Amino acid sequence: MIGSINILDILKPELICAIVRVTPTHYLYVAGIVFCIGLMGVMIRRNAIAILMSIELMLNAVNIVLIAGGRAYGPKTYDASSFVIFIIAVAAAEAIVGLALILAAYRHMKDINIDDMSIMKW
Amino acid sequence: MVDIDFSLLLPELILIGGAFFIIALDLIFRRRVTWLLLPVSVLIVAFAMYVAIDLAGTVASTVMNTFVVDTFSIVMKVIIMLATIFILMLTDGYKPLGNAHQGEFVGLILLASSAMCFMVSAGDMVMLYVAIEFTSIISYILVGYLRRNPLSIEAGIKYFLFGAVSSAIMLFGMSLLYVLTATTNLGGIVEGIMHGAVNPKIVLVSVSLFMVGLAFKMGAVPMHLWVPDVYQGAPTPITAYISVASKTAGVAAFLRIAFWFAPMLDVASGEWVNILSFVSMASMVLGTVIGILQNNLKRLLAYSAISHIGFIIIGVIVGQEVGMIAVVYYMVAYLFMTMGAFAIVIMVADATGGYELNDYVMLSKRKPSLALLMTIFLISLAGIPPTVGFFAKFYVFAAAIKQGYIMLAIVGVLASVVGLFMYARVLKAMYLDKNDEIMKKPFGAIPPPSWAVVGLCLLGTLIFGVYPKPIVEIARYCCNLFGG
Amino acid sequence: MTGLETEEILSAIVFYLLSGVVVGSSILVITLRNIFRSALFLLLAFFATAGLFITLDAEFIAAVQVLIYVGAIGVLILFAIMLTRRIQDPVAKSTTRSFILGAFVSAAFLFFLILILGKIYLPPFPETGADTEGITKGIGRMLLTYYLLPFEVVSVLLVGALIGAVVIARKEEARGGEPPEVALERERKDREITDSKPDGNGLEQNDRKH
Repeated sequence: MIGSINILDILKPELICAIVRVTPTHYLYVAGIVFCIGLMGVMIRRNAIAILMSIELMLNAVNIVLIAGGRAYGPKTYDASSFVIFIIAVAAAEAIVGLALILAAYRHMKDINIDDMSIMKW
Repeated sequence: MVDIDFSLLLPELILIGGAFFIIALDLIFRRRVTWLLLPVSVLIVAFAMYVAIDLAGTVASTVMNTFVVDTFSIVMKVIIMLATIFILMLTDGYKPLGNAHQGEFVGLILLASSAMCFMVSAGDMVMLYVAIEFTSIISYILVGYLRRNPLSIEAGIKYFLFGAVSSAIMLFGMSLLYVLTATTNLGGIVEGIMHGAVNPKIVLVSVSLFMVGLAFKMGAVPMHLWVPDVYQGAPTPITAYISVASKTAGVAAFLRIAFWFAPMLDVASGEWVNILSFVSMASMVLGTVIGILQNNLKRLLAYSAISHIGFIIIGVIVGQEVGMIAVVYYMVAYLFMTMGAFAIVIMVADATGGYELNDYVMLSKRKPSLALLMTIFLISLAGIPPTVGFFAKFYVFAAAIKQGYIMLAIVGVLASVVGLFMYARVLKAMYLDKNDEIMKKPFGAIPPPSWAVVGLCLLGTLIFGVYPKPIVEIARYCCNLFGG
Repeated sequence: MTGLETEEILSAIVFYLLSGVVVGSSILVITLRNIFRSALFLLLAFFATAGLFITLDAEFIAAVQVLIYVGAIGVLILFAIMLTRRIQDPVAKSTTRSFILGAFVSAAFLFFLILILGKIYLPPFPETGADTEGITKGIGRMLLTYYLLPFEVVSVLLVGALIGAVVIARKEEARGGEPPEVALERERKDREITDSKPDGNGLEQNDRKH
């Protein structure tokens, strides 16, 4: 390799290599973390809009997985990119409908906190 | 260039075109044509159904295998369209909707039906995802359609949040499957997994996450939390629609994927069957046990629906021809008995104004015919002999025993026995309970289309309950002509 | 194999920086009490994700991400927050719906997911020809050949969602000269006082963006 430098040979070089040399798996890890953060948001937030934002985070994680996976199979794979475009379009439609419902709820109930939506029991 | 065989897509195209035609009709002529909307839409759906039946016997796929037509999908589409016709007829007698925006309401129902048909025929993950989301998004709108009614809006928001979360989880599963195989085609995924040396655990996890979205559509146990609230809050025809059509579409997609994926899941077969068995048993037990405690008819039917999905999943677990026959028969039975029960719930609610068990007290005195009809549908839901519900459960249990899933059959039989109490509570209210107050309340008139729906459902429930052979033959035909 | 090229180190720095921003702002989105700030951090997370897409040579997707997620969905969410702002009481607790349970479940799921994701084998990134135009063309061709049917279905879906959103979020019925709907009386009992604040027109205008 031309122009290569050795970093800290004393510490485990394989480990450092594994961390620094970015592979698709790194992206999968990031996506997994973001997905779980979104999942946690869904479970802990009370405000319907905040839950919607957490869901958008989950979808974002899915997009990262798809793009990283598609890239790993070569620059000429377009399935993943097309799938992501579909996800984004559908997410937009979903957000429109969800926010319309939330606005209607706000208008008639003055409240969009999920915990307080208990006319019916869960 | 893509070769598109439009004849295969015709039923869906008719539904979509019909939806926009209805909306345009309403927009242009406003109130002058309101009376015309429902009959026209029923005709459109009936025409689409006729075209779909005409396709029976073909096994083909079009637009690069993203759309699969086989007899199984045709039968499921016919069930969905029959359910659509029934609820359009019931909408006529459903007063809370009023005359407001009936065009949009009917148009959205037709759009949802086309989306469900796409879901049944999807041969590609992207197609399936788009179809599921299409169905869901239109359903959120329809559930929250009575926007002045806090119950309806609340149900809409809960349905929306649950649906969005489960679709995100499903997408994660789909993206993992894509990462494993570099294709989104369902057939291609199976091939990719079979030929690549993929860790079976990863496949199992991805498929399980994938199935979460379908479990949501079906209302099976881990994703069942929305069912009671949405059933209670939604406009009742929409409740019936979600209960029958949306569930049929979910079951059809689930069965197709379970059958297609069967070879690649064989490696992790034991665990996959265990997961499904857990879902099935949990649905049956939870649905019947909690259902007994319900005092609201719509909630009671919701828990009944959860338990029915448990029985249907047994058929999917069993697989092969027997399992498929059981599932198809169950879906036909489910259409007639659930639709009939909901039709009567709508009639009683419009006449007396309530969905509580108390509103059914002394129904046998006030309106004996309705009480008798309700009894027949409930008996069918419970699975007692002279009705279609009995044969549905019978085929499921027979299939399970034949393939050695004894445990599932035992839990199923026990759940049906416990389920009797759930339905018996309604019978007790109608026939035994006394309340002199309620006799003084007037009982409103019932519109003829609702009677027609109940009559058709009654015929279906009784005829196929005595003579199940035609449905079984159709189901067998489905199995022989299963695309893939 | 201990040699690391400078390019690799640079790309690693970019990757870690961007993913740090994505993860950090995601955490802020779900924990910040002020929902308006959460929404701003959501936009930041979307931006950083677009950056990640660029490191994966998906410039077109990155552009779409910025246009639709940040431009449309993000703004839509901000609009909704401002339209319902009266309930954004800063003192109100925003995250205590079974916090422990949620944290535990998602931590367990994360642990499980990391185990699974680590086992997935993916080929290391192949070299690119850096031919972005070709990639965009490829996506377009894919959308109109293999994904033609879903593409058409999505267009119908968007129209349906638009119609539905307008029906639900529109302020009130047009009243002029309409016959009173007798049956609505029963519902009106349950109905609470209607709001007279500025209505949700912003929502409908934003719908057009898609």
